Amino acid sequence: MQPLTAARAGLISCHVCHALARRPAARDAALHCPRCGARIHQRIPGSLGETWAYLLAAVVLYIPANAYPIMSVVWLGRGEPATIFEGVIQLIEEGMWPLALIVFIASIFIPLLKMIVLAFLLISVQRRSRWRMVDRTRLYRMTEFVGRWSMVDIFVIGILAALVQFGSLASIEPGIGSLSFAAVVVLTMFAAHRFDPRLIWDACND
Amino acid sequence: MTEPVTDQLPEAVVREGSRFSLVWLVPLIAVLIGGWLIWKSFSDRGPTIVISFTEAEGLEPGKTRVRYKDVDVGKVKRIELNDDLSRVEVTVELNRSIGSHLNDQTQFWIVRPRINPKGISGLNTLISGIYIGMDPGKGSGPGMTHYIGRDEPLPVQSDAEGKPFVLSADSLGSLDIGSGVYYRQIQVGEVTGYHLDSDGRSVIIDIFINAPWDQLIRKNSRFWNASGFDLKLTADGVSLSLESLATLLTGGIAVDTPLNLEAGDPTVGGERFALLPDRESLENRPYSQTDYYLLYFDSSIRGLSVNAPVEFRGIKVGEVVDIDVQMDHRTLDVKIPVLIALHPDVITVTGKIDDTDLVLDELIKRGLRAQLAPGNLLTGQLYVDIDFHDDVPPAQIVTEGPFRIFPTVPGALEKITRNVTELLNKAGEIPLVEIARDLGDTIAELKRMLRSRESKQALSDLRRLLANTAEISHKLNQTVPQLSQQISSTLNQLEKTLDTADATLSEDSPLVYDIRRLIDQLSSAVTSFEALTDYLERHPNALLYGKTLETPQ
Repeated sequence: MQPLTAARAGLISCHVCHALARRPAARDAALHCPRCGARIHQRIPGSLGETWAYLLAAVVLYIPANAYPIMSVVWLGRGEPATIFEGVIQLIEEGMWPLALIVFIASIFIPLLKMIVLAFLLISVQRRSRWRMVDRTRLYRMTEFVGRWSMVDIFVIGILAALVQFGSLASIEPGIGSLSFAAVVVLTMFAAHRFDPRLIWDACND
Repeated sequence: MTEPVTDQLPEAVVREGSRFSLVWLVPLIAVLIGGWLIWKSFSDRGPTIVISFTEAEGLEPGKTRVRYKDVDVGKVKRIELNDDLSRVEVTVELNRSIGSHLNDQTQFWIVRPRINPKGISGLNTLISGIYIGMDPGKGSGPGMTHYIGRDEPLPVQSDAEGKPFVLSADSLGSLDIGSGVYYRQIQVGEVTGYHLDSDGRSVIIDIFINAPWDQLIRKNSRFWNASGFDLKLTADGVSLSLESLATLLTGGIAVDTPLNLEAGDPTVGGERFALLPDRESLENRPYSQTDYYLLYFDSSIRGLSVNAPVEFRGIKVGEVVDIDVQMDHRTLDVKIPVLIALHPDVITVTGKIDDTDLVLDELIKRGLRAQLAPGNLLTGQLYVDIDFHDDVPPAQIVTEGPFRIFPTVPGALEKITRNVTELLNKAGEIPLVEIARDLGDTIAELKRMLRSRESKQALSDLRRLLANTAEISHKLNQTVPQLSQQISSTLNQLEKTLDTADATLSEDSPLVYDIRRLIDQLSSAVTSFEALTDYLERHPNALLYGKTLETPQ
């Protein structure tokens, strides 16, 4: 017994004023709310394609984000640009295990996991899989929630680079890796945003 | 219930829209950026080279930089010991920009704080950490993968403007790398290195003269050691002179270009000069080259001592270094070898000599020989004189052991002695006894002749002849006074005639006056005639019509 859905009933709700409207016969056309005029759609149009596009861009930029130095701390003329991974190793060498763990999870593990999860969701939707749809939806919610926290790295670098400018005494310069990393975070957020979780459940209607 | 509700709902408005999604530009841009970054990191990567140092104190892999003119051009990647643990092999990754400038002359050294005559350098490395300095050099060879690092920093960067020169000195004195070179007490350069000559007889000092002062260094420039100070105690008092305070502490070299006969051609760099021990030595011709030759003399060299001069036409070109006596164990011939030092560069050569040995061979062929000559006849001091000699047996330079043998001719004194000996020998051969006997015979014959009758007769004839002569002279005595009186009167008359002539022709005589007037009149006549002819020439008709009146024009 399939449940009644708006899509089945031929109804669309407006995302802005939440007015309910009947879906016209022409499916490919762009629909607008009869009450407020906002664009309405049954599912996010081109959701899979756009998500894929943002995800691929994020994957590509993930390489320079880790291969290039994220920032260089120059202390009394001495200092080296360091990549994220070098920073983690440096923290481990100095015995700061918990901090190293946090940096590793927030900056390396989470973005990677996010991209893998998104890819998994996209593939499973395209295959119209009915496998553990509730868990997959929960996975999506987690992904969308946790994604923004990766930006903490970028904020820290931005604040430090702006504050620590004492000439030759000490200075912090953002590296090329930080830009890439910021791009990765933003792109994964876009990807998660463009992904329509209702697509997961559409498999039930087939 | 649901059916009527949905029927009452209005239908959504349909508007046509574009199907193309711009979102696919995002991964495209990401790929472009990523590709550009990858390309950039690969294109920036220069060659990886290995530099070997004696020690790696302060070097850190991944941290220590290679710097040229204080610009980072590379990074140390790895530090390892070499196979026999004698040196440290430092693997360095250079930037591409500098990689293309690597050549066989490229130098690397570790920059550390150090104190030298130039002052304290590299203090910044106390804070920034030590780094590897480099100088690309101007070599023509291709870049290598393995370089030997210097222990000392390169004193002069290869792109420094100026010229290097080489000085040769007897000893280093208190000079050191970094000691200044002063021209009229202005520092114009510095000592960049020193090493022993290949034969260990002199010290070779490398100096570098900075532009624009390198133009001041001419072929006849003189360098002298200006280290320390010069204290002189003379009748005028005490005088103290020193080049600069720095030279007192760290030593220094002074240079000047005196006005002299030598060709003051501009230098091209790399020329070799002699480093004179002090300012006083400036008067002597400097030499930077010393060749040693062996002379063999057969006769006594009494009067020749070590340090006796070797002269060429009165100019000192060297000195005697050693004297020995040799005897051949088989033939028992005794030879006296004399070692001399020659300074060929004392002689100014016009043009360029490619091969000194060839020139010397030719000079020997033309009769250049060494001989002993008396320097002082009273004390019997000898010196070695080198000069050209005609009609000497041909000879050539031969090498014996470490030295070359310069051909010799017997000395002037030696020659005189030999001639006298020969004369005496010849004198000994004269038959004196026979001569004496012949002489006695002759005298006896003479005596006998005088006593004979013919001789007495001859004597009486001679007496008569003398009497006749006396008579003739007596007559002559009587005639001469008469003759002289006549001559005297003739002379008197001649004198009178001359007086008259003098009066007639003198400046104020009437004759002369008349002649003068005549000449004056003649000249005025000529003038009028000239005027006449002129007039006639212009007016030929005047001959017929006479002179017309001049009309004013």
